[in-house]
Amino acid sequence: MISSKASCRADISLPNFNSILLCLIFNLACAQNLYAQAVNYLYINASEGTASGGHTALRFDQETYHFQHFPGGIIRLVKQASSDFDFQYRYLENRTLYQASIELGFEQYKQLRDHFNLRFLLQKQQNILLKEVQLNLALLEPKTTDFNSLLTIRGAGLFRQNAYPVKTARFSSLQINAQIKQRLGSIFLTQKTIQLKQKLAKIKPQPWPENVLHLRKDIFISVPYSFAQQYIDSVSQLLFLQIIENNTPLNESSYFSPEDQLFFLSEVEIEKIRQLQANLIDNLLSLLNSKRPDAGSAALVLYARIISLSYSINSGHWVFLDTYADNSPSITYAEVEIYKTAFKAQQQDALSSIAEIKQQLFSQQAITEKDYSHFERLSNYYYERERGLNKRQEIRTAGEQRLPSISAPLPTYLLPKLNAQEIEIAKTRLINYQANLTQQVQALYPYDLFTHNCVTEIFAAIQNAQVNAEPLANLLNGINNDPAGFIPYLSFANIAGQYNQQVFASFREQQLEKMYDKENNLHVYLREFNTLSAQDYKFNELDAPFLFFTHDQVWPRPLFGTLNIITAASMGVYGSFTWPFDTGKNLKKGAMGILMSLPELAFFNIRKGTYKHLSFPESAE
Amino acid sequence: MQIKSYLLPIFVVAGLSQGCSFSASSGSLSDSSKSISDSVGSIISSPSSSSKDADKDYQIQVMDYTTAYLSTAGFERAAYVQGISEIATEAGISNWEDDENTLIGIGRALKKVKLTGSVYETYKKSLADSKESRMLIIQKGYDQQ
Repeated sequence: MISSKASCRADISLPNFNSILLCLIFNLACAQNLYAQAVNYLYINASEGTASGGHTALRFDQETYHFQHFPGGIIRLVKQASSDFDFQYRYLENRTLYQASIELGFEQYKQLRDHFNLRFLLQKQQNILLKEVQLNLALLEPKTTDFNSLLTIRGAGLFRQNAYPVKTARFSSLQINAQIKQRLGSIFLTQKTIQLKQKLAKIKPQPWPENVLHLRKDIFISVPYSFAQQYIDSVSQLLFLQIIENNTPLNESSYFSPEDQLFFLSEVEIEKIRQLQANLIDNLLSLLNSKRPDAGSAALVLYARIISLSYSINSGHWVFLDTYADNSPSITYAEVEIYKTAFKAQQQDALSSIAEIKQQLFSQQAITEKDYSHFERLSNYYYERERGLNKRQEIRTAGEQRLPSISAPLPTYLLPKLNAQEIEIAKTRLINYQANLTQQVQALYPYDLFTHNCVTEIFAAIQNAQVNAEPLANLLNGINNDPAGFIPYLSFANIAGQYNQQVFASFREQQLEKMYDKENNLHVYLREFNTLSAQDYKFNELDAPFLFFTHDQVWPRPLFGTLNIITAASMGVYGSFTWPFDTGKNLKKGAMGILMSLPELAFFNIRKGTYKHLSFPESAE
Repeated sequence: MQIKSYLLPIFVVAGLSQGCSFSASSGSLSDSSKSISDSVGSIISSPSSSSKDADKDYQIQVMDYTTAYLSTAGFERAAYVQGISEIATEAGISNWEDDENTLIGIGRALKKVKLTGSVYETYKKSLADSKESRMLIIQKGYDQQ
């Protein structure tokens, strides 16, 4: 990029119109490349918990890539939305984020981003391959726990099992079911069911192609359409046809209607919902005639949504499907009570956003499925808080999706009919695949504190990308020349001087700044220097016991550290008594507290204190 | 705020005592390998964020995945489709075969991997399931890239 620019300048010095014209054309051609974009190298400072030695990442605008240590001793590339990454580290984990911006030309930036993205995709694909082996093994071993957890039919749990249709006018699917059946034609369901049953009887485990069993760091593999996947897909289609045939109603726990007035529907709004429903019915019919192998689970979800829209139309009040993922994390009502103010605020914020999005939704000419999915997901988030707070119940704190997925177990009457020899041969083959692939993954992506960690892997990936850019060459030199460059902090310190730097304050740092601006400084200090009276901090199980924050004050650190050690030691003593009852949990907490406080005696700070159930910040500060 | 040099030794000690971030999903590898997806919290914080940007991001996800898949030795449609379904599901689209942004993303990928002539036409036909309306949108994506 730089050399191109220089050569152009040389040409311009020629007193020749043609040369000038040529240069202008050349300049236009390379203008895209001259346009600089910054890739950001991030350092997240140390804290208690995971990544206590600090962490590093590479950010391409809205995408952040970082290497994480996984069970089995491997290190893999993870991709996150930058806003989610910041929320995790700066807000919940309360760490300061340091950023060095490396300016690259447009093409260089794109090349580097594509390299990281491809690496992420191919590692993800290799992980899917391993999961596919596990899924196939589970299907051959129906008594294992994997069988129950992995072999499920996505979307089938949205419908009642062995139930008769509901006949109340508001929540009836009779009319819509009849409409779909009519459009499908009288023999469609019977014919398709016969075809699927024949297909199910024919599906047998087959050996996988040799080329997918050899993993490489730079080759994207095609995951075979396996025996188990074919089986699940066919069963999904069969169940869908049965649900249509029997007019099976929605499972009562799979839909809800929020209480707030905002969820009432006007006649005009109902008409728009009718249009959306008509479009979704077209989509459903298109799906049923599609060659898409996973059409069954998609049809289950789509049909459930069509029914829920009928409920909305009939009742004049939004009815949504529960879009939380199976096994979404939840907290008990006891914990909800501790963070009640936070959840109430989240509920109100969600309601304001819903009002805004609802207005956008109905101002469009037609509601698209994608926009409806977005709205439904947000309404799930809102209702989870409304229900939990009003009914004093647990709250699911994550797992809202854009499409519902409540699954049901694979019906035992539809299990594959294989003889003992077929099962044995297939199992032996899969066990060999599993051992072989696991070994390859461990050899390709070994985690090592010194040689393969979050720092070394980022720089190795940059090197492998082979992007011809001076700023990247300087970056690599800065790391390669320092034997201690594998340490997150040092990796950043080595390069930071060469580039534009920015520091993004942690949650507590931001809150303190606001408090000092608005309130009496002494009052803020006396309230906020300890964990007992600090306004936003609530002691939680992620932190070892401590009394005083030491991150924001250097000189009192040894004194506060001593008091923190006494606090942790007291917990340890208490833990030694409760050890038989809590399997040593309190004892471990006490020991960790002492360990985290020891550096404070020598003016160093690691622990920052973590926060739970925070609301997402309005804008990055 | 600056990184203080006197903190250096503690970072060395901490760096040696505990490694980089350990995946929260310690029980499974699967969670971390999900495609990128914005959280509900971020939507609440900016509800008016552009739907066009979201469409563009979705197209890029489809294009990236398709580009990667087209580099494989043997292109198996059934296996490829599973990945596209996963991306579409995360975006809230159930019938992606008729979704414009999905088809544009596929078309862009075909151009990105420099498919031309009869090879391009074969892939286009296969991915569109021979449906004319779908092929037209794939072509639109191809021309856009």
